[in-house]
Amino acid sequence: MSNGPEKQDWRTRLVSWVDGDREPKDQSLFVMEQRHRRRFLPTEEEHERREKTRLHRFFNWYPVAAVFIALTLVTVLLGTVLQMPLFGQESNPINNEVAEHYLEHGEEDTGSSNAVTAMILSYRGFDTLGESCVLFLAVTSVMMLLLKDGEDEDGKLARRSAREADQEEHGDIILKRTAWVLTPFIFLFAIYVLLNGETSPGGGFSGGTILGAGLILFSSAFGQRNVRVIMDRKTYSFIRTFGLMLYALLYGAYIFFGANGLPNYLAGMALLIDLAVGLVVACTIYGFYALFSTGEI
Amino acid sequence: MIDAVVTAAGLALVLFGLFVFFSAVLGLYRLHYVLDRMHAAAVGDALGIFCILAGLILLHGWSLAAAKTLLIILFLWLTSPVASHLIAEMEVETVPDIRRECEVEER
Repeated sequence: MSNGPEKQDWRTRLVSWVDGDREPKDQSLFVMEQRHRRRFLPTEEEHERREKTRLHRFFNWYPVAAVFIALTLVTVLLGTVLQMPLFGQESNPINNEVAEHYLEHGEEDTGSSNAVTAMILSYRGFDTLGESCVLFLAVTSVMMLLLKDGEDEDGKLARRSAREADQEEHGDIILKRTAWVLTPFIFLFAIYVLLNGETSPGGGFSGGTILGAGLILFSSAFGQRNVRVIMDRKTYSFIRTFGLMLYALLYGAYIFFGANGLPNYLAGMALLIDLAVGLVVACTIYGFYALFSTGEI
Repeated sequence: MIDAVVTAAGLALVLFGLFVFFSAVLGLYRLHYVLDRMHAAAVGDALGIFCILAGLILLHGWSLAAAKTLLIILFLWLTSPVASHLIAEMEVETVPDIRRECEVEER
């Protein structure tokens, strides 16, 4: 409060305080100047201009950052390559007894006479488990991106299903007949390859691929509605998860009971693991087809 | 005697199948329109596969593998024409002026 004309006697000041000030006093002016300035939201143009400068800055620095990252990566990789053993030396780790051991003792160690199956499902089962997880995650993320929700607007869904029915009606008779003849044999062959992977070429990945291809043929000939009769979304998710869980459980049990020189208590394990991998692979392939073509399962 | 004849027939079939496949690949590269290329590929899928697999059966002799090879021929002969048919149908569906270019059978 400044001295001067404001210095009136306390009564008039009290009256003016009770009545309320028409004009701000000096103190309030002082306080208002000391206060932080209010910042308003930028206008559209201002916002756009700011975004533009931000983008400009980003694109100015982008090549620099890209070159830096690439150079770092190249340096690290080249350094790693320089650390690697020379090609064709006798003491290289590739020339040790591991491969021979796999070939010679694979059957008694794992109980499967197919060396490839023995390797990918028993000796290096965690690797295959990781691959199955990758497939599982790929389908999950594609589902997150492309799957249509059931609670859509009713009109949209009805129109779409009408269009689908129309498509099914116009389905090609040649394709339908051929698929009708071939699909059971394809499924039979897929099961044969799946269950025979222990003793002959084949196994989870190839059998699952054939199974998924048969499903794709069936659904492209007869429409997805007919596939949904036996496998709706819940069943699909259940099969997918079941395959992965079965694999993880079996392989965990195998690691504790069968590996590490202990006797192999789980002789038929490769068969079941093949089945699990096959289920995951088949669901992956069919899921990709169904999601990318119609967005539904 | 009969062995020599069978072997010669098998060799001839395999060589002819290779020739068919060569012409199919040549056609795939030289032709530019979808239906022409489909025709070239279908020749290889039907005749070439049959000749090579039949020649292999003759060269190998009758066994379980030969029976499986016969099944492969059956499968390919069932599926390859259907695939060609679907490609042609897609071409008819998607090209608006196809009826001015060639005859289209109405179904």
